[in-house]
Amino acid sequence: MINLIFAAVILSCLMLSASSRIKTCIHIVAFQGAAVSLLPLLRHHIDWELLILALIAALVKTLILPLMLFRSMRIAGVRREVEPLISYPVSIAISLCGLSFALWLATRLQLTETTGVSHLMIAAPFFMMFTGLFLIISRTKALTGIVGYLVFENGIYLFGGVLGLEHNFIVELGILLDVLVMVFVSGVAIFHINRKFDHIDTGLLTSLSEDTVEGER
Amino acid sequence: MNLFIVFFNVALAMLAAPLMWGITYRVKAWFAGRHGPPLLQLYYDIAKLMRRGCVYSRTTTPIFKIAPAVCLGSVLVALILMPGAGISSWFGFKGDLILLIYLLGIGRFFMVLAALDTGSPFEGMGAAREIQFAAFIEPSFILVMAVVGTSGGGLSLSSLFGGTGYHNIASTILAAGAMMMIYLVENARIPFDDPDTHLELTMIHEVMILDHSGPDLALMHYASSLKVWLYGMLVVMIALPTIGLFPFWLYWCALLVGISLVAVITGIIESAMARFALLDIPHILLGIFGMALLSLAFLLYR
Amino acid sequence: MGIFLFLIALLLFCGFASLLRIKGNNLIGIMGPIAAFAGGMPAVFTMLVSKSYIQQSINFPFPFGLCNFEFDIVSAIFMIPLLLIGMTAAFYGGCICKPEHAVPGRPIWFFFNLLMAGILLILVSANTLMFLLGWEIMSWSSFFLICTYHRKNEVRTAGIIYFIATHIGVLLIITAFLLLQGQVEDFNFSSFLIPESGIASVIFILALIGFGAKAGLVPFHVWLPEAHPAAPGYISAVLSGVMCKVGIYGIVRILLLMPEHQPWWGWILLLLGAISAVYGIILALAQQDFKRLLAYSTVENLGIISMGLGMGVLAAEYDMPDISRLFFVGSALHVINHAIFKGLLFMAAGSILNQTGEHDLNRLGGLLKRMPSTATFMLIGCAAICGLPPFNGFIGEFVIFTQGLECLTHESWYLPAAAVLMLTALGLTGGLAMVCFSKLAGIISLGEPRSRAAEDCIPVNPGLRFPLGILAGLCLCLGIFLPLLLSDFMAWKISLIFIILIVLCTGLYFWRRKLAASAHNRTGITWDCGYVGGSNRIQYTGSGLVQPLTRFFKPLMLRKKSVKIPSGIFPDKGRWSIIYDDLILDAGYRQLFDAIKNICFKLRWIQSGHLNRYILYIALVLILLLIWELL
Repeated sequence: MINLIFAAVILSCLMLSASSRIKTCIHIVAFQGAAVSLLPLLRHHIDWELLILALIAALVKTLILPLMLFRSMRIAGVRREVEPLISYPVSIAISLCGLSFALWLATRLQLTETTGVSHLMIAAPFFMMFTGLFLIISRTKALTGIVGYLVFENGIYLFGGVLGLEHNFIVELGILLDVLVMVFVSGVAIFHINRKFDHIDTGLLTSLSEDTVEGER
Repeated sequence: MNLFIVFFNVALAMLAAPLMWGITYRVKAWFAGRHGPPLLQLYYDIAKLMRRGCVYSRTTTPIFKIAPAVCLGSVLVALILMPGAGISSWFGFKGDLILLIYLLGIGRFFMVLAALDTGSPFEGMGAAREIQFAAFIEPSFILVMAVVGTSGGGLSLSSLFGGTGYHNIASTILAAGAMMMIYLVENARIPFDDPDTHLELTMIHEVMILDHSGPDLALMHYASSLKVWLYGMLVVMIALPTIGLFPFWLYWCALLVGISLVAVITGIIESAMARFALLDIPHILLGIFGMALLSLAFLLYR
Repeated sequence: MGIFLFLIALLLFCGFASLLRIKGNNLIGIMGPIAAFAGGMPAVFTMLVSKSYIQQSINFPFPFGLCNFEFDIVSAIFMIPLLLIGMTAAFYGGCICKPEHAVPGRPIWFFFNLLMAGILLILVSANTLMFLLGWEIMSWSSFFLICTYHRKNEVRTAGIIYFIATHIGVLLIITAFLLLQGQVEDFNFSSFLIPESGIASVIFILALIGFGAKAGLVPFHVWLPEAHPAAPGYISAVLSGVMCKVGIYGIVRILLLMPEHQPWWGWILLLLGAISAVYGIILALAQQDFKRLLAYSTVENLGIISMGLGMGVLAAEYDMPDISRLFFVGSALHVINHAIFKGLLFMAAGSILNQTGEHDLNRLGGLLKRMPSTATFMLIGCAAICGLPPFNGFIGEFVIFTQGLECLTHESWYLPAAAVLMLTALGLTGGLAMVCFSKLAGIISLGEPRSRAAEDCIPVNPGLRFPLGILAGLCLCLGIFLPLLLSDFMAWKISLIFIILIVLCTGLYFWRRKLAASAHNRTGITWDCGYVGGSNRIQYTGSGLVQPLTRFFKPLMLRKKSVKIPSGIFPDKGRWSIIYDDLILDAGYRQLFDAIKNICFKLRWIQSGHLNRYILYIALVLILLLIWELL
């Protein structure tokens, strides 16, 4: 059961890097959120604290965040394309490289002996983090950047869940709150960027950098 | 006893110093085949100037009037530091040779200020040259003083009588030579400065006191002659350290003769040499520094 | 000890209170340094008499922990300039009432109080964190003080140069302290382990450059000649008299923290000091801007102090502890004395600048008649800085000179060689300083005014006489009475000789006056060979006065000459100007920074402005770090 979920998570990450629609991406992120937040319930004996945390996380990750993203999509009037800097086949290739790197990391980290989890379970969160970073780097739309950030955050959450480190209720909730605020603020920011510049393509924001000033040198 | 030394030093200097001017000029006149001024000419000049009134420039400030007093006062105070007859002055202490250099500096500082006070370009030019030479000569003077201080051991002017000079002839000769040159530079004599040229532009020391008159000029002249005496004393003492072993009265006579001899040598040099080109003088001053350094090196690393 | 912590709090309070928009806020700001002087001086004197050592530990909240504070004789010595100059500068600043100085009033007093609190904290802390905290406060607040007239372009440039210099310095200081800290858990000086000699040398070099940049030792002095002319006069007085000394304090503190020294440390200090002294005074005498001149003279004087320290270290290494101690005493005396006469000179220069608006001393003249009190105090300051008896500049140099002579008798090769080097450098510096300051005093205050501005200037606000008068009086009093404190040789004779000198000169002056009064005196014009077309401009200028020397030392400076020869049948105005600039700044640092800039421009493609790319960099670095860690 657990392994299945992990496989699904990894596959969803691959899909993320290959998908061309923002809507799909948000759906995938919602699915990942559900997976990573409910995973601890499958692995540990359940106490109240853990249960509350998992439920809150699931609520935020699968419902609130995607809904906010959809809302900002609607406000910004985003069309469906993701607008990658790197073409989809190459993206998938890089993702696969990332997966192999994550697997290599998992073997090198030597956590299996101490915690008794399989290599795949260690590799999955790392792969999620890479995917998140990759999305942020390789896509021009600000919304995709937020999606990438969420994937990254899911990866970190999953890593904590996998290792079963003593859950610090407060810390996890704090992170959750941060993410929530981040998405909220970026939603507003995207709305404003959109209104000011008629697009949310961050690539075109370079004209705000020092380049133009120095160009007159 | 040490207080007597102070008294004798100051008294002899005050009495005999203007005589050296006369000696130098008689020697020069003799070389030129003239009769020359009387030996006591500077005494007459000073006495005459004392009775005269002053002409002050409207540009000047009180600095101009303070300067002659400070020039004379600082040389007199420098004189009370000097040892005599083999023993130190009552005012002597460890490090007094440094104080001596600085005391002579005050007089120069005020003389330069007085020169600038008149606003005259001539005097400004004289001041520029005077302080330039002084700046270059100061390290040499200090090194000569270091030779004096370390050869006698006491690090004070009384070690002029340390008597070690003859263990180390080379060092003594070099130090005395350097001191003689310093004497010529600081007292503005040929080959560094010619006090007797006919143009204000070519003089250094004399042009700085161009606007002084009456008692002011008298004090300035008197202070310069005391300065000549003081430097002459240093030359004699460095060249002949054994002078300190002489009996008390003989010492003072020997000192008088020695300084007169220095004055004679000055006269001979002035008659035999022309002045150096002004732009070459810094290089020659560096040469004097080399002499002083070498003298110290001979003393330290024998 | 408690008094100093209280004073720090008081200064901070006064600083913040002066920011409030209430009536009399400036007065509160001015009262801070004055109260600090009143409160701190008794404790300093008690310490100087008792020569004891006070320590106190205070537990601070989280980042600091248990902090030690120490007050010893070294702190006390450096405390004197801080409190004294701080007090007089505040007094002076308070008395300036011209409108253009009143505008930046509030922040000035805020930063002024902060600067004093920071330096006070440095002097009493025996804890790395507290020391560095004080250092940062000092650096920042002094930066804002330098930029008081920030609307002027050159002031901003000066501020930026200072900013860069001080931050490079602080970087090295932090590194030095971290190395000294080693693996020790708490930050107190007392818990430092003795570093091994290799590390110790590295620490020393880092600290020397870091603190030397603050002290203005050549070649780290470049900020000084820019910053001091930019700041108002009384601020320069504090920067030069106090803040530069804190650099020396840092070097001394580092030397004290490391019990074992290497002889070559002494050599380095001595050489840096000798180079600073000679180079500083050569550039000082070539300057036309009199505040720049004073700034370079600060470099020279800190060079002298550094030479004293270097010889002290060397003498200790060659088993001459008494002489070594006296070298440190000489340096300490010069620290105090330099603060006093340089403070005096900077404040006098500030007054002259305010009244005439002229930076260039070649356009001044005759100020002794127009601003009598200021010019007289300036003359006293000039005499003192030349080390002339009976003023206070003499005694410090005298002690260093005498101990240099003592070192000549040592049987090794090195110590006498070092002493000869020191004697030569000190002698040359003394001679050149005489030139430099006869120029400053003579050209500014004597002769006839060389411009309209100098001709029309009016005396300063009479209140300004008090701070200047206090410092000038101290120049004379300390000059006469400081030798009495030196029990090691018969220095009371120096005091006696000084008194004889003063009495004799005064007596001769009055005698001369009596003589002259009995005769017929006349006034006229200065002898001009009968030339009728003379003007004030035919007077010798400051540049002319030092021309023989600038000519000789030309290779050490950067000469910028601009000439316009009058031409045509009806020739228009001609122009001739020569400016001597710092070779180290213009040919050294500027080239270096230009090269760095060129390299940076070649790498500009990294800074593309694409957010994605920046994140890529972060990701790459993270991944590389992971790989590096795991391989």
